[in-house]
Amino acid sequence: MAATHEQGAPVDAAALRELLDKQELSELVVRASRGIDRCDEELLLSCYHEDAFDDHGTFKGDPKGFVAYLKRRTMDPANGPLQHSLSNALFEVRGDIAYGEIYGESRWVEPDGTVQRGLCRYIDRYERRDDGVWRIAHRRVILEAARPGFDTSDFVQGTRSRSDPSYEREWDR
Amino acid sequence: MTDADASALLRRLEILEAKEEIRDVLYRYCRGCDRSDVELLRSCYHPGAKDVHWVFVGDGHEFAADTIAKLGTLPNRKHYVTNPLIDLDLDGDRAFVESSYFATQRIPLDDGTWVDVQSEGRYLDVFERRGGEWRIGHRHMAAEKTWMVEGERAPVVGGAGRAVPDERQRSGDFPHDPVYRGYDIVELMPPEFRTDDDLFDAIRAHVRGRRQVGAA
Repeated sequence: MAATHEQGAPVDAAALRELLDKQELSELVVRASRGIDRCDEELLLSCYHEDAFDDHGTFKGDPKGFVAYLKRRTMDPANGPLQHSLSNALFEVRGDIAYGEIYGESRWVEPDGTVQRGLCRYIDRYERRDDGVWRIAHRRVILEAARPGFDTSDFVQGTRSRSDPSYEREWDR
Repeated sequence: MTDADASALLRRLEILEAKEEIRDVLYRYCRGCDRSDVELLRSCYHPGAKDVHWVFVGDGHEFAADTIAKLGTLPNRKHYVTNPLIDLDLDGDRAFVESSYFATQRIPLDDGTWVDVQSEGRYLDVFERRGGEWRIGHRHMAAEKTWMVEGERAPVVGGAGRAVPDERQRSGDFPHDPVYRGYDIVELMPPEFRTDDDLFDAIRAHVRGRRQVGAA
């Protein structure tokens, strides 16, 4: 039965829940960025399920391995500073599974003092499991633009077509 | 839906509504800066709010006037605010808010070129809801980096030989910018126009010419 507000008009509770879920997902992806930018290992790990898989090109594996990898580079406080800036975020939610495509730009300071920037997309699958919290279950990074000379061949490649990984869905799993 | 479910849903909605209002303030701040709109910028702060800013530490309303006076005449300002994270204390009518900024201030040079001074960092805000309205109660800017990008005016493109086909299409400042037309924007119609030029031919020719000069 539909919930009603004071005037008695029907409220679409399912639509409201979807809106609230998308809100939580948008905060989740920003928290993951904060985790990297602030070198906050605990925060970053809390954004993933323990058995999640992250494909970051030169690293592919579970969240603990990913953090260990990042701590030698991006999350080494001696490097940077670095800031991720997320913009376009599209989520699709069905029950406790969701998919998301997030556009990101990161800007960082190289050891020689110059500022470099990179453009990426995150292709994510999120799951809400027993504790009721949305977390990343699967993340792939597509580099749209990297600093000159950076080899992107290890990364998942995007396409400008419907075969792009952002179209993939598996709702049953 | 049981009453308990409905009231839990209502609570989540109240949280979302508060967060949306806070995000609106973050974006209004950018528009205030970029359109040199002192009143709009002031309206982002509660009276008595302090701003610990780059070269200004003091009252938020005074910051609004001071920053527009100092930066408002630059030909191009752009503030992007992204990644808002809102730690909301709804019953306490306050929120701790972190957001990222990326700002560009264009400094014209005597020879017609310019430098864009770009900077990025984070705004760390204590928002308060007073009289039902969320505004900044205290802002602390955590500066991260500042750098320069040297610029050169792009060659004029388009068959009419103008940088923008019509002045009505140009970005500007308060109160002249098109955004202040609101719904009346539909009346701000330039004559219908299209160019058959290859828009980037002029750019290609310009860059070729400059490289030949550089190589000579």
